[in-house]
Amino acid sequence: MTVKAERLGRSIDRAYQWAFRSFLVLAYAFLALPIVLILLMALNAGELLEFPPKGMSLRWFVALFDSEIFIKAILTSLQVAAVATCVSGLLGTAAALYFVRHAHRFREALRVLMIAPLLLPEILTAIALLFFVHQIGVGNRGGFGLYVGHTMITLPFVFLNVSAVLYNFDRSIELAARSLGGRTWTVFRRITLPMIKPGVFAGCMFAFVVSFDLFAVSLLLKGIGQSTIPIQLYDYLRWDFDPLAAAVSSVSILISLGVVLLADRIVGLRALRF
Amino acid sequence: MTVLSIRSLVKRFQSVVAVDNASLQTREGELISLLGPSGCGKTTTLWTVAGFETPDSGTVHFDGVDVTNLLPEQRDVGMVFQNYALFPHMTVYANCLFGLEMRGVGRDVARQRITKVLDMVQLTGLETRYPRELSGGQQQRVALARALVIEPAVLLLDEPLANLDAVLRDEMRFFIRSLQQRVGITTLYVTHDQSEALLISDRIAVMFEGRIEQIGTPDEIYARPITQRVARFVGLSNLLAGKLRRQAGGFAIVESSAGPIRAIDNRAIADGAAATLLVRPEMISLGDGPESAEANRFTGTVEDSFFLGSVVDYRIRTVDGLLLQVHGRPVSRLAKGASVTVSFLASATWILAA
Repeated sequence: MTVKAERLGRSIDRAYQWAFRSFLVLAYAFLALPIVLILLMALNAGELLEFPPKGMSLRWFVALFDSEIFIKAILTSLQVAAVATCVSGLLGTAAALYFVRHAHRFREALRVLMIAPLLLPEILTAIALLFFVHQIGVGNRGGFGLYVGHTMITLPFVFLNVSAVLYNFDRSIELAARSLGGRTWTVFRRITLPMIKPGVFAGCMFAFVVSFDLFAVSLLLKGIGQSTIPIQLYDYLRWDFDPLAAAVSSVSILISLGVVLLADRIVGLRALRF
Repeated sequence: MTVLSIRSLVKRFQSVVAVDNASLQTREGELISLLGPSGCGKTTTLWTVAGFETPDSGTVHFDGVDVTNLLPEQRDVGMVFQNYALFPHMTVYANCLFGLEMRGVGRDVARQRITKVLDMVQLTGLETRYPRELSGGQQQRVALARALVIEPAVLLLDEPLANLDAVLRDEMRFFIRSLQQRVGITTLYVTHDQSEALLISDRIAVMFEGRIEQIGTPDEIYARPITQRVARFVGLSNLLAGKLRRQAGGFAIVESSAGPIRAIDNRAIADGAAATLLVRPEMISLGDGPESAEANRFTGTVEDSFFLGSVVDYRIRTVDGLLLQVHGRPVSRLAKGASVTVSFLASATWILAA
């Protein structure tokens, strides 16, 4: 009797495990399949953006690297993302430090303000900012608004990630450093900063990837003749429908992936736990 | 070696008075424990000495020099935190090096000093480990090494053993005590554990509600507490209410509900005043005891008994209705309800204010 029950229990366990694994596979497939499809379509030897591809070829990647407008767009996107990431990294970290450690009276207001770009629809932020840059007389010249817009949108990611690390920060470690003779700035540089680095890097990584992918803000605030990858891609797909678009997408996916891998290499995402 | 003195320290947090006019002065190389329940202000006092808190009034002096307004980094203290507060991103060696770097100690001298201190705390060979790779006891010793390597004027320990398991805690008590004596450093040690304080201290300052209630050697605190709550906080106690009647020869009688009890006189209490008699459970023996003019004897029955390993903790109800806590040897244990005679000498007692 008990043997039977045990056997039944075990087969239920097994069925459960099986179901769980199937679910995982499906979930990952759902997430990864579009990416795989894009890559396959980019390797298409045919003339049209279609699936299944007609033969394999790298011709559309070659076409991409021959295309001046796309190369320019990639470089612009990289540049904007890099600037936005750095500025967000600095401002977001500073804001998080102030918010977690020193803000008393306007604490909640500050938090809402900081994450507002995340809560509002991107297009609203973009329109508001467009009015703003024209109001102050800068307009779309030089893509100033583009940098500001990207920074605004990416700022919350750094702010939230650094705040999370700071909430769990054991202040007695800093006190220990001070009692060992470390001045405020030394303690910040040698103790605090290395310890919150995981949050800063995670936030910056998000910032970069988000900026790289941003559409509405870029569309409204880009300078004349300026274009980022999503904008250029959008422009291109209006008139053309060939696998070059898939090749561009693939490259942009690879760049995002590259950033994550690079971050992992430099700081070691797994080594970030203490 | 440094003389640490705290003078009339007051610290308020909003309306709560955390430290209320606390004063104490160490001798050179002395270890003083601040002992008290949580929230009694012992940690605040320690933090004020470390410079992490600024007192509302009062001063802290190291060797007569007023350091009250100095920042922590200017004070020359070694601090060990309850959770160790090691730098998680640095190796054991780098943890120890930090303080020396801040003091501008040269590389070679630093290496020598770190080697020496790691040897002292028995961590040689673990220099390249990170804190997360060490056991709790090892982390504790790194924290000690890091505090001692800078050869500070004063060592401050904030409940350093609270996070260790019981066996390790017992070991580390002896370890810290012998280390402190070998180094000969003036030390302030915060704890809520009375047995830890008794074992480790040269003197104990017992704190309640922000005040230092009594300061004295462990045996003074244990045998001659000045208030009932000190008596209750340090060790187990039988407290019997009565009225003091002074006798000749340094003795006194406490007229209790169970009749007169002979006790050692306490001159601080007026003849005829209400008084409380303290007698520790281990000072009461089962049986008649020696025939002596000093002896107090009660008969009663065993109401309850608890086996504690080294002793049996009896609750004995005397015929007059007193409930006495008595520690007996764990051999031939008395059954519940057994009738028994207990006795204790006047010299084993102490009289407190009511």
